[in-house]
Amino acid sequence: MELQAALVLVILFFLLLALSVPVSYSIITSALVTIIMFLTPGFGMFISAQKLVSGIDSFTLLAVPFFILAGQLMSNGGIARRLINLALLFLGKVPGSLAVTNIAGNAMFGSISGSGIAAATAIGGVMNPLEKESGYDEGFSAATNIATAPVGQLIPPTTAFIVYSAASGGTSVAALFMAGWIPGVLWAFLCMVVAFAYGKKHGYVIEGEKLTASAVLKTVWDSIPSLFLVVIIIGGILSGWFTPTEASGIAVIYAFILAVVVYKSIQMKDMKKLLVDTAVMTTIVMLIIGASSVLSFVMSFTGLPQAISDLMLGISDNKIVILLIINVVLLIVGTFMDMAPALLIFTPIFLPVATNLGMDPIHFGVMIVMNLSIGTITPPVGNVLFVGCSVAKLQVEDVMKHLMPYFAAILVALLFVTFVPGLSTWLPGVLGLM
Amino acid sequence: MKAINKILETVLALMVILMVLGCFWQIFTRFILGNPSKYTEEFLRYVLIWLTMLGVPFAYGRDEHISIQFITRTFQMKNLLVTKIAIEVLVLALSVFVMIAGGWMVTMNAAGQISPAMQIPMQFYYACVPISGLLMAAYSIERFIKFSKEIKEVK
Amino acid sequence: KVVTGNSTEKIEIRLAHNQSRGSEIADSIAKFSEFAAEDDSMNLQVNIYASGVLGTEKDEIEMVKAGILDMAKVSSNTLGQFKEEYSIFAIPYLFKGQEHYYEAIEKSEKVKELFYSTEEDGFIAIGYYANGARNFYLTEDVACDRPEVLKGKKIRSMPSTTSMTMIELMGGSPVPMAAGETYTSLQQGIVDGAENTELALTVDGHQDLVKSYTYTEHQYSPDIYIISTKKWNSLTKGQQEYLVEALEKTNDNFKSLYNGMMEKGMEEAEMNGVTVYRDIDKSAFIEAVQPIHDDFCEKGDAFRELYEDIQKYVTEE
Ligand code: NA
Ligand code: NA
Repeated sequence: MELQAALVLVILFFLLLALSVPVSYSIITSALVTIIMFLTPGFGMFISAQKLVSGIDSFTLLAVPFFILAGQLMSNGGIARRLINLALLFLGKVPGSLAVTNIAGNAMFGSISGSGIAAATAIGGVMNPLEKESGYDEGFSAATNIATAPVGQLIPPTTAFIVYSAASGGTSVAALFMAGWIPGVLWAFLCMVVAFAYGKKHGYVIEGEKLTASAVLKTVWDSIPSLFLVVIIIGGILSGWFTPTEASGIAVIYAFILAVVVYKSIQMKDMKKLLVDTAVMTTIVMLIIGASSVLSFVMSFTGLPQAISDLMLGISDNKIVILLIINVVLLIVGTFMDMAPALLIFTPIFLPVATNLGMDPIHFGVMIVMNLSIGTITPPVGNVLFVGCSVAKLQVEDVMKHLMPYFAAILVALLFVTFVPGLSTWLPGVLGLM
Repeated sequence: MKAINKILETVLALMVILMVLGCFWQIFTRFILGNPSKYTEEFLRYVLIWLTMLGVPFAYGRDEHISIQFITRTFQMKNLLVTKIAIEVLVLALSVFVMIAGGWMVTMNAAGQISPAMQIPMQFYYACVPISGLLMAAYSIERFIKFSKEIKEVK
Repeated sequence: KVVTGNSTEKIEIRLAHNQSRGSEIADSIAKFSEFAAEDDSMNLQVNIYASGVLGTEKDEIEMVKAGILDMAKVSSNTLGQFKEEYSIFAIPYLFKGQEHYYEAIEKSEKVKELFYSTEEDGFIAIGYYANGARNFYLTEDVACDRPEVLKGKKIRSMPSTTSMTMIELMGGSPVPMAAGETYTSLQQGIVDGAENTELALTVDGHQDLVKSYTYTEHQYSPDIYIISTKKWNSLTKGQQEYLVEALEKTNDNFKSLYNGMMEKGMEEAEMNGVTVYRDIDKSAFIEAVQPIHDDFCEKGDAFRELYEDIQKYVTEE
């Protein structure tokens, strides 16, 4: 029963995806057909309708629309430029400085907005033309931007961990946020090494003008309000003032004041479009979550996760082998699927295997989010990859060659994160969150 | 459909504002009044559910749901349109059987059930599904007609 | 629904619950499956879906109601959303102690009536699960024996009105949140304490963070086994009786384990530096929550009769 169910599910799902059926409808259809095969149509209709609603009825998920709205306000809020200036201040003199700055900008901006696409657009949109002016290879610039745009999905705050928290049955969001920090920075750092080496080889050095103390102060001063958002959210959660959901609401109010009142980069008449866009983006994510919960029901009912767990533990009881298998599967999944559905579908399957091997759910959460973040920049399907290419006005083929050394660096980071639990668990441990 | 679009757009924007205000109210009652509201959390969850269910057809009308194009992009125009029409048929079927009929089943099954905090009938909680299904069906039929016309022109 | 198992064709009964697979509680529920299979001639096979894999308790009850799932073990609190009378078990200090709790649920005619009252809605209750008492625990080492102790203290509350009202009346300031956030919130000081059975200290690890655990024994909320009317009516009289007996056996087995299990847990917590306060004078709390008792009885005659019937089973302890 499990095997037949698995085959029907997987084949139908990928067939529908390939034919451009929206991801959420592909999930519902394949789940529904599987239910009907084993039970009755009435059962399938009832369960699908029920799970579509109850799957999104979650205290934790309330933070999703708020973080999306805050991200919208920030992306339109003139914040990217201020963060880039700050990064240039410190990194302006190193070889490949503009590329390294792009990476630091992605890390800071991604940290605030939590969206790889937003970072790729906002930071890459400014940096790629600058790099072209300074004689950088365009493909290299685009690759740098693409390779590091997703780090904000690991550096908190980030919706990916909120979704994982829901999928894993209530792992602490605060602990996950802290756990993502070091792996995110490691990803960015190893990519900086690549950019540095490339810059050195090709002689990309700027003879920067001498900085005056007042210019330095002004740049730092300008960036403080933007960076303060992270302090409010993370500090608010850590100090015990806010729950993560409340912190996300505070983020909206703060970003609104910053963008509309302080920077005046958004006008009130643009607000409606911004709100509607937020609603649409929220809807798309939530529908996928609802659809995935129909699918998890089917899988649980047919005993699929248990069967896969048993199968994997049957192959080997070697922790290293199993974790490598999980990584490979997730990387392949990530090349086809988006973050949210992949998290919701694969967490219940792999988490029991991982905990069986003595892995902490926090550590596993970081590992799965990192894998799927990598998926957003790998062909054939990668949102951040596509957006990064279009920002640079290049084809995927032009960027691929330059992405390779970055992929190598990111894979090294992934191996470290997988096999050195301390990278994920040390910080939340020190802060007493686990 | 234009009128429906306009209405949905306004309703969705208002619901996002409502959520922000609700979250603010929760923080306010807890910090300033020292007496957390018992209803906000449930209220926010239910608004998010309705927001999602009304947003689904609206986003569909704007063709914003995530799909994968790299295979169908290589199709010839006529085959591409045939695929698109087939997708509309599938979406219409899902709207009718899952959202309208299934949604009606869960709504009826919830008769007599009340929500734990606000004490409102749970039929309200599920009613967004059949409503969403009706709107989805409308958008899907509109697109079906549009693609059918286009396919005639290709011939 | 008939499935072809590896043995002869049996009637499959699917039971869902939300205790995590592998926990002691889940193991004790799994006994039901064993007991139900003991008599081969009954042809029953209970398959258990643990860890809430089929959904929340609310989802499970809806499925049972619709006849899509056969059985579920759910908290009486959740059942209160479907049949208001079940919210009686959320009343703090409804029971005077464990004996009263066992006696009343097993013997009260009114409780029996309540169990069958939802037949038309699509389900009935055929057994209960003797969940233990909930008690307060705090990050400060102090005996929690009167409302003044909880004054100004932020206490984690289940996100339900009843739970929040109870904490308010008992002196605390409720902070509603999901169960998974409690550990972190205790650590960060979002809350100064919580209330739950002893298992929260050991299984959820709260013993690392709190300094005291006081046996306030304010709430005995049983879990209830429900079965869909459709499934129930498809069974023979003999099978029905046999199933109820299997549930009773499961519960007796659990009751005999429960107190020992909790004592062992508390020993572990005490070794971790948690001071345990037993045998406190609860009268101040009992008085404080009286409005909840009154409110319940004022809902109508059926509510008052149920309440009064349960009070008939008070035993001297
Ligand atoms: Na982030
Ligand atoms: Na990819």
